[in-house]
Amino acid sequence: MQDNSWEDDRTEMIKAWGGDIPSIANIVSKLSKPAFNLAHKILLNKEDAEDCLQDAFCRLWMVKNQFQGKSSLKTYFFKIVINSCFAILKKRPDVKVEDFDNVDHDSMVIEHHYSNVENNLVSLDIKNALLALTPKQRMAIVLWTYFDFTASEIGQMMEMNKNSVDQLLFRAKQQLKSVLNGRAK
Amino acid sequence: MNNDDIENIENEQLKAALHCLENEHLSKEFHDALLSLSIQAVHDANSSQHRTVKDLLFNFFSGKNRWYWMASEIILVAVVYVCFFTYPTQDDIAATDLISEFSLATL
Repeated sequence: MQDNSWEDDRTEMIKAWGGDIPSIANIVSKLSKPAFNLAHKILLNKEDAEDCLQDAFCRLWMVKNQFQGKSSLKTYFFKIVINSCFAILKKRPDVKVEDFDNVDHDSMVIEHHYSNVENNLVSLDIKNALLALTPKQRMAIVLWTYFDFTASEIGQMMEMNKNSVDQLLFRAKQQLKSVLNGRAK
Repeated sequence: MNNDDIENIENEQLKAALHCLENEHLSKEFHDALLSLSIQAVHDANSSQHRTVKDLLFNFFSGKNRWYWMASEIILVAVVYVCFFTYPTQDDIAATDLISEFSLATL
């Protein structure tokens, strides 16, 4: 069942690469919304998420026949989005390369990378809690929470093994629980 | 309840809390922009593929290969020069024979 669906994805991609506009439109419609949600939740900034998506779509179409149908197109595209998010995060002046693995709670909470102040306080609390995580932890927790991916699928997308993802998720959950509980009090 | 059950409940609670984060909506304009960008990107990718043979030839005769190509041209010109301008003609052969005969006769 799943294999057939991936095969359908590949057929659709081949048609799109051939220049078939309805197929391109179908793929863009299918991928843009979840990919935007993923990028937005990792980057926590609308403009950056839009830049990320543009870059990801360019990368998707750039190399012909790269998608072999070994995973779903969504998983394949999410991997591209994640790489693009990494590139954007690395350019941010307040995120150092070492921040990708190490948590620096004091410096990473409440940064200026989101401008929608009108969001409600609950959303703001969650944004801050997510910002308190390292970028890698945030990526893993976003994929686990909002997209229901398993640790092995996350590992496939983030190019890590399952055990490392489990550790990453464990630390992220602990961190989130403590931040959210602290704010609730 | 064992530890796994407690962990599952805590995970569900955490997921529920995180789901309170508002979704940012993708605007129709941005979606249309992505579609145009994708159509253009596919078009560019296809045209670059059609250019490949021409590019290959261009690349062959430019860059590092240009020197090999020039060297082979010089060798070719040299070979042509040797063949057409230094090869003895019939007159040359006749003259040589005449000189030989004359030399023999004088001896």
